[in-house]
Amino acid sequence: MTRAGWYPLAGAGDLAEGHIVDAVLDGRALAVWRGADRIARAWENRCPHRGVRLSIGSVVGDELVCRYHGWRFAGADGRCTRVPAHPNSAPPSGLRIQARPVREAAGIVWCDSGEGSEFVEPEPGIVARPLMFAMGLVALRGAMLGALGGSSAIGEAWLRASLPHEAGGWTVTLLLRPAGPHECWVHGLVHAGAPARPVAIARAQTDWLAGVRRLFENSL
Amino acid sequence: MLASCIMTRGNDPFIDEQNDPVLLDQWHVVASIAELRRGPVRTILLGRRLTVAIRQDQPVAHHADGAAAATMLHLEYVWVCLGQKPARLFDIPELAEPERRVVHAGSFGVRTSPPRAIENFLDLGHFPYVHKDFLGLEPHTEVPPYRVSTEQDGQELFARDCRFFQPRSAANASEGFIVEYVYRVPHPLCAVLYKLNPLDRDRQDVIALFCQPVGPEQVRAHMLVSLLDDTSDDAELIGFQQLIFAQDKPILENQVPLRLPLSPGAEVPVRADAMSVAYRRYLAALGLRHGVIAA
Repeated sequence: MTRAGWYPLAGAGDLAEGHIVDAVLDGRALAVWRGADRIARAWENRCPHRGVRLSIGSVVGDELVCRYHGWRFAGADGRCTRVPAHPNSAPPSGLRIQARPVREAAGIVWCDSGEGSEFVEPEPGIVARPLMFAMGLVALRGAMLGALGGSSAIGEAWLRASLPHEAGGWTVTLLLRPAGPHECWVHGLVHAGAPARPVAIARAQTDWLAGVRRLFENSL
Repeated sequence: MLASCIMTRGNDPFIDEQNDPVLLDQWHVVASIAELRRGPVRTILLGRRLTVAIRQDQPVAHHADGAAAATMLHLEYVWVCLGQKPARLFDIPELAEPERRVVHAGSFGVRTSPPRAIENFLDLGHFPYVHKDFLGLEPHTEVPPYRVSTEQDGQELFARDCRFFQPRSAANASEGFIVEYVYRVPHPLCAVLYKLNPLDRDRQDVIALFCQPVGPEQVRAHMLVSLLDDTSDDAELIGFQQLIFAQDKPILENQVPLRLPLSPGAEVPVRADAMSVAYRRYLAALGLRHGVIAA
């Protein structure tokens, strides 16, 4: 377990209304989804009926529907609202999906790995595509600080670094999410003001980060 | 001898499950005759590598070290028993009826436990969602009550009077109707489904699923169909069953945990799951350890 706190799960723009993505935070598998009410939620990624991952299900209105038997769960409180095999009976009482605390800020969907952790908002930037590294958080943070010239730590899970000059030289904030003991996802914010083509800048960040990952993998 | 044949990589956490006495003494399908006609088959049963072939019309199976395993030809398949006291192998007498076609519809590798694959085969409630437009369609989602019983001194499990609306129940079905099912579980990892034929509704099609336990989280599912269908050719029958199975596979590979939990509180059943509950109890009563999480 890493220190409790707010970690990025997904880019807010990647989580369109009606979408579900899966993300793992500190060994906890989550279905991250957004219903018609536009609220992002992070639920335990498992239907209590037969254990199917809810992230392969679908969103209908403000409800998440399990792909296996069509059981529906209300976004507001996670309660089961419908068991189609018994359309005229009330769903099992007390059945609800556990939700994790979520908030959206700086174009990112965040999740608290603990309860009531203090939230610190990063400097806004262009949200880059997250990449997975096969390293734990502490090892990855240390490797990045060692390998990226001019980089510095911001707390336990963030780093400040710079893209190479040929990639624009922009400053980036790297946000590390521990998935498991040997897996970390790196989300990035590129501080490039309000450019005409933010997608090109996000892509340059992704290419650079993929290069960093290759470097680490080759040195293992 | 047996233990030496188990693939071990360091301390194999599966080793106890791969030596589950319940499954060692059972017969398991390892290959279809159809597959063996194309040549010997290399496969894995309970963690042991086997080479299976048919020589002079006789099935043979060998371990990696050359030792022979007990084999039997039965119902279009070669079966292997690894234990010292082979259990009686069940029959499906209906397959001997005249005018029947018996077709091996495919062997599918699935990354799940064998009992999860069987439980899915015994399930009606998923039809409108996983097999939409074929075996089910909203709003026809209700699973009416059915009867569950154990027979043959607890060796076999049945579900009778199962009814479900199916828009296209088989390759030769042209319209939807309420299909009547009987499920039979004559072996911890084999299940047989009897269902009304879409054209001759007094007679039954038979579909059987034989799960080869490769390991506790890996199965090869062999599907046998025997249909009263003289319009569809074998390729159509096989294509239909493969389509259905391909719809089940992503579900099976996304169940957490992959092993079937036998503890009554581990998952939340409803009345429609009476057969699932009975199957889990049946496995617990047999003392199965492979591919399950014991209660």
